[in-house]
Amino acid sequence: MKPVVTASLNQQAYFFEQDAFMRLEDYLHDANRVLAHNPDREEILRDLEQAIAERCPARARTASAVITLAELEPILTEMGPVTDPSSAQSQEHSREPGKDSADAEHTTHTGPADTAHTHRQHRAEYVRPPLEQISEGALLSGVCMGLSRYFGIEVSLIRIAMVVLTLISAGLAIGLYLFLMFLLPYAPVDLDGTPIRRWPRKIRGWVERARARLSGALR
Amino acid sequence: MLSDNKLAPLRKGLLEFLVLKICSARSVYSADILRRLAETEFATQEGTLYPLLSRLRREGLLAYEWQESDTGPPRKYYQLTDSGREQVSALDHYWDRLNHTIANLGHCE
Repeated sequence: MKPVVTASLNQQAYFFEQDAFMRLEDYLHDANRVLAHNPDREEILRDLEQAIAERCPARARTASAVITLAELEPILTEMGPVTDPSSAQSQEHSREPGKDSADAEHTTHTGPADTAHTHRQHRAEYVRPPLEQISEGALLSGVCMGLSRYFGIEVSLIRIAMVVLTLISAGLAIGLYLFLMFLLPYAPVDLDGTPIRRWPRKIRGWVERARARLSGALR
Repeated sequence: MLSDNKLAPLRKGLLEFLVLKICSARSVYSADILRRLAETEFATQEGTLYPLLSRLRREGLLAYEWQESDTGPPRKYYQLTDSGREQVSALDHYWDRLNHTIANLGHCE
């Protein structure tokens, strides 16, 4: 079992297995170090984050499909080591691609504490994703998918917990599900690739009509 | 056979010129630049390109504008500034002269 980490890449949340997250952190930390004296450091780091985010599969924006180290490694290899054109000569020899990951590991653990601190403040911050229903990949309405993303727990485990809760609470958990179904907003449908099944689509239609009617009645 | 570590510094020096040339036709997204370079022996990675683009912008040779994208956050599209255009045509002339020099030196033997 591996812990899952949410990271914000240029303000979009992605889910990583912890070792993949640490590798990504090393890469960005290394870039931060190489560019330490570059006046455009912040901007270049943002560009790099966005390029990495664009290469990450969009499905990794829910906790049910996380990015593994094996998936991240080729992405970072394609990105290549970060070089600083203003101090090109001095970097040249120390930055061969093959050696890079080993170098990065060392500097992360032995590097000066203050650099590591600023790096952590600016890059790859932990963010909690919004609590919403997610229709893609849902079985009913998407409440369990949403809870899965929010808590960073496999959606299957949430569903099992829901069933167990229903059994021991003599059906009360069904009420809880219905309550959340009408309360939680739906996440915008933008996670490409994952189809929405027939039932979640129907239920979402009902919920949205019921909400419209309710807000009409209250007005 | 020429060894690659003799040619690598040459390519490195020319990369800036090539990036400016790619930006001279129309405004381009960084992935477009990488794609154009990938077809040549100047294949480059983001880790090298982004710092270079930032430096060229700081030197006033390139400018960028944000454009909306269908698939994600807005993207930076780069294009040449007036002084970038001057630089490219100066480099073009220099390159012609260099070619001429190299060709002529060969014939002298």
